[in-house]
Amino acid sequence: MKYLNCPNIGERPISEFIYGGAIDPEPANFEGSAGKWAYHQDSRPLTRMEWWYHQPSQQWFRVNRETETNTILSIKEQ
Amino acid sequence: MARRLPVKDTEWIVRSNRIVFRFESKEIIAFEGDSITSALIANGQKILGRSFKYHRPRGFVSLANHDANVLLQSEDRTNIRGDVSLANESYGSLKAINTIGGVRNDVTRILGIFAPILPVGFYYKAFFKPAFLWPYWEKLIRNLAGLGQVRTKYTKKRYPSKTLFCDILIIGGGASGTAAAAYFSKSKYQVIIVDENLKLGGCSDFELEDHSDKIQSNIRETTSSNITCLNQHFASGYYDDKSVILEGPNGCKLVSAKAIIICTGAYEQPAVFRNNDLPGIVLGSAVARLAHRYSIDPFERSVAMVANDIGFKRLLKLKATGVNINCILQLPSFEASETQRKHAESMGIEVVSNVIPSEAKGKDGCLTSFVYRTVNDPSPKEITCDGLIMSVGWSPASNLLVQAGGKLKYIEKINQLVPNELPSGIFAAGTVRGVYDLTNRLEDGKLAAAACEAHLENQIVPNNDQVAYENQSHPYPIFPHSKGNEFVDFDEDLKIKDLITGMKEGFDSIELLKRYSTIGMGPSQGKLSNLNGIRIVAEFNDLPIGNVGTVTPRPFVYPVPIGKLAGRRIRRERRTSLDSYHQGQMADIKENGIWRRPMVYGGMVSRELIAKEYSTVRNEVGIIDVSTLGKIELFGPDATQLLEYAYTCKFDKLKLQMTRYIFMVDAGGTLVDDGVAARIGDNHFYITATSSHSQTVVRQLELFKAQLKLDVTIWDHTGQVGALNLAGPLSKNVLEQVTNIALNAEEFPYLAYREASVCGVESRIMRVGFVGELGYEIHMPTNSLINVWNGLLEAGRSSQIKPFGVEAQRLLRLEKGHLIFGQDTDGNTNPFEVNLGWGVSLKKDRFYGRNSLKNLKENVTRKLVGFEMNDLRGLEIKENNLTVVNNDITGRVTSVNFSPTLKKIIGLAMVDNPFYQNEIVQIRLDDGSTLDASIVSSNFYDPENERQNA
Repeated sequence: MKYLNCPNIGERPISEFIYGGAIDPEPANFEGSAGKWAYHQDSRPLTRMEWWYHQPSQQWFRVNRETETNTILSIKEQ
Repeated sequence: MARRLPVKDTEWIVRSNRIVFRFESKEIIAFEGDSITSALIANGQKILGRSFKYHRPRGFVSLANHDANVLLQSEDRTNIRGDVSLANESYGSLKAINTIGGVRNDVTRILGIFAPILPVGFYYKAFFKPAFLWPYWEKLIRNLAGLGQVRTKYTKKRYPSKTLFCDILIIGGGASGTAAAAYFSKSKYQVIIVDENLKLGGCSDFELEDHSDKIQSNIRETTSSNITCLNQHFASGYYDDKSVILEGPNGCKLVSAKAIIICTGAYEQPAVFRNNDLPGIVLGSAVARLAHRYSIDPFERSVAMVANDIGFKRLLKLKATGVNINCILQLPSFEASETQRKHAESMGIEVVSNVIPSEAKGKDGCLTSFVYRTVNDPSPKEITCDGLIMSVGWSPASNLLVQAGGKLKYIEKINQLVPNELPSGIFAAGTVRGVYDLTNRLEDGKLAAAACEAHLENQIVPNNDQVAYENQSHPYPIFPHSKGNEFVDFDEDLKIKDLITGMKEGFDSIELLKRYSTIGMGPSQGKLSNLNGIRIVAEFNDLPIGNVGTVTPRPFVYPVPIGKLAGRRIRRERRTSLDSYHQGQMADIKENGIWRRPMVYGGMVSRELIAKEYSTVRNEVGIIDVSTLGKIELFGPDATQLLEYAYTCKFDKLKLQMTRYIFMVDAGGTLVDDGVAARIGDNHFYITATSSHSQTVVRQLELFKAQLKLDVTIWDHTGQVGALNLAGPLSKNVLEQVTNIALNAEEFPYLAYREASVCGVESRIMRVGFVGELGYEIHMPTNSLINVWNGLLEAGRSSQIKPFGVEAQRLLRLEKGHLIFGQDTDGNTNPFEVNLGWGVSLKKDRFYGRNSLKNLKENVTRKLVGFEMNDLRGLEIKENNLTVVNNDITGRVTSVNFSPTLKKIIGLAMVDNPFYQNEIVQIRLDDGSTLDASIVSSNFYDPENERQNA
């Protein structure tokens, strides 16, 4: 099982978290059509910052993840 | 005729316990511990199944879970793997799958005669045109080809799923696996060892040299320690971060480990020559399994074809155990040592060298003789036998290893793929690495365990590469014959010629050839055919085998019954604090998302009960439990800014102590949720969300808060706050008896918000109009809900107050044309399609989904319209019935019902542009007939809203 190390309450199984998309580009700052934003996100293997939500504690985190190997490099509060 | 060998200590069968079952009307007597296949063999059954395509007779080959031709069917279950399923009286009567008239006289065997005109890709080519005939051919082909028939009247059985956690998972309980486990027997680590067999030890007892002391002591150390031993469990798939699915007799287990040692061993491979599929032609390891575990000698007179040292030595052990082995034919690549040869000859086995296999011959579907020549003497020699034992080489059982991210490399020197790179925390030991010598395997297991320990201790991980691998495989055990019938894949009935044809047609890479010819796509997933297929591809393309590549071994490694994957039926459910009240009122309670909600009170849902509750609300006063609504409080300096961003409407006009209807879209402008927002202070709001979406809305609001770095507190009250809706013309009269505020329209107008005491409980009251009558939505702490509810019922007694359920509410709201999200909208509906454009304020600089909505506003391609009809045949219209114009689909009905007030069928339909502008919509019923309904405003009832605003 995969674990995420929650900065508040320690290691929790990934099933308690919900993925919220890449942080950059944030839709808030995105100008352009929805199609472009929703369907043309870069999906090549890379290391990027992502949003992950811990459902039980109702908290979003910024997670740095390497997508090719699915390795979590760091996790921090907003 | 097969026979049982004398009793020995190490056998797996318990001869004192007899098991009786039937196979195709023949009585089979087995012993406890027998597999179905071993029991059939012991009872003299040679033909155990028919092949997939040509219905050729087939017998056992591996006895190690790859015998795709020995699949059986009981009264209850299908595709039972005979080689690994324990004989059991509960099967009752078994028969082979895919035969007509039994395995011996299968009438469809005649298909084999047509084999020459059934080349690979035949079905694609021959039945492609004309297209209208395909259904006929398909029916015919499906009857003839294929596997077992699914019993629709099966006995239902639920298998519990379990999740296990451990530090180290050892997969495979053979020599190296148990050596690794024994290494950890006194350690602090939690270890699980899993093996597919009844007992640990793997095939270590097949070896000539007696290592049983060492292995038995490893097994003893393992079983007497805290190590969990899971026998009869198949490691069937590797998933993210060291999770492995184990399929056991009582269901699946998901093991989550910190490190994994893979000791899965190797699959012995068959040789490919003419008629190599005849029953009686088997792998050396299969005979070893039969003789050592089930004490069966399957043959009267057998010949062995050998190309490796291990195979030769195993034959000597078999002979010593009592198996009839008359002759050993050594392929040119291999020559046993002089001592071994003498050993064999002293036991009465003739040894022939430099043999080139020619063909096998059979009678009545069983092997009768084998024809070969030698390198020095081209004249064919025929040798009579009822058994041919093949030991020509191995292929590593590296499926899990590759799924875990390991890379393999083909080593020419040993004619085998071996692990080249392993991911961190994954270790391999034993024959899967090409280490065959038993002493070396024991050492290898120990070294892998030491490496694993170092990994867990965060020390430098040593590797176990120093243990030497050996060549135990023939480089090319494939012997084409001018008359063909050399089977490469027994599951799918593929011959050398089929592969050559495929490659000549251009499918010459292994991945393409696999899909075109279906090699390796049968039940055994190519465990006995992929390697030989790769060899043929390499030969054809004149490439080194290492450059051909391999096919990707995806989960599952072994077939897993769907019932075991499904596990037990576990569903979360939420109950409101009125749940027991609803039950006491005989409510028909159904799951509504994750909530249990009363559909109607006083019995099962019926038109009459719904109509009664409906008329209470329209004429007197009704009360409904709406605690399932999402209830969220927001406060802080940026609360307004957050709502402005999350919702489409403008909040600056929302006055204090007032509410408004709000909805949310996603980035693409699709409607996702709606609710009501009440303004309690300048930056203090109380909002509701739909029952099924409250968590999603909170999550979305939290995300916006994080993204925009806003200072706001989001407090999800959903579970803490109960809510009810008091609705109907007399609702004011009821409420005013139990509250401390004035309710007249001037002081508490429509859409206003008030905080007041209701039945002595501090509550929040909103005047809303979902059902189209004067109404109050009252929110209070959930543990007070029952008191308030009973208080209101008491106060409303003279007004004939009645509780109403979800069904009546749906009808009431439909008369007002109010939407239910998820029913009248789908995953692609935008506000402009459902007449909610008034709630989208594009004047706002920014809000979530604004750019999309800007574009969507210009291109409305469909619209939700109301329809009505007086014809009572309209009662047959169902939700999701299509609307059509000249048989072309133009849309669908989203809601429909009979309005008791209007005495008409009314409904909502999503209709494409330009048809929503018509006056009539044609609705297609389930039986194919159509009905006309007139398109009208969806505000069917009280269009001036006088009643709700009263």
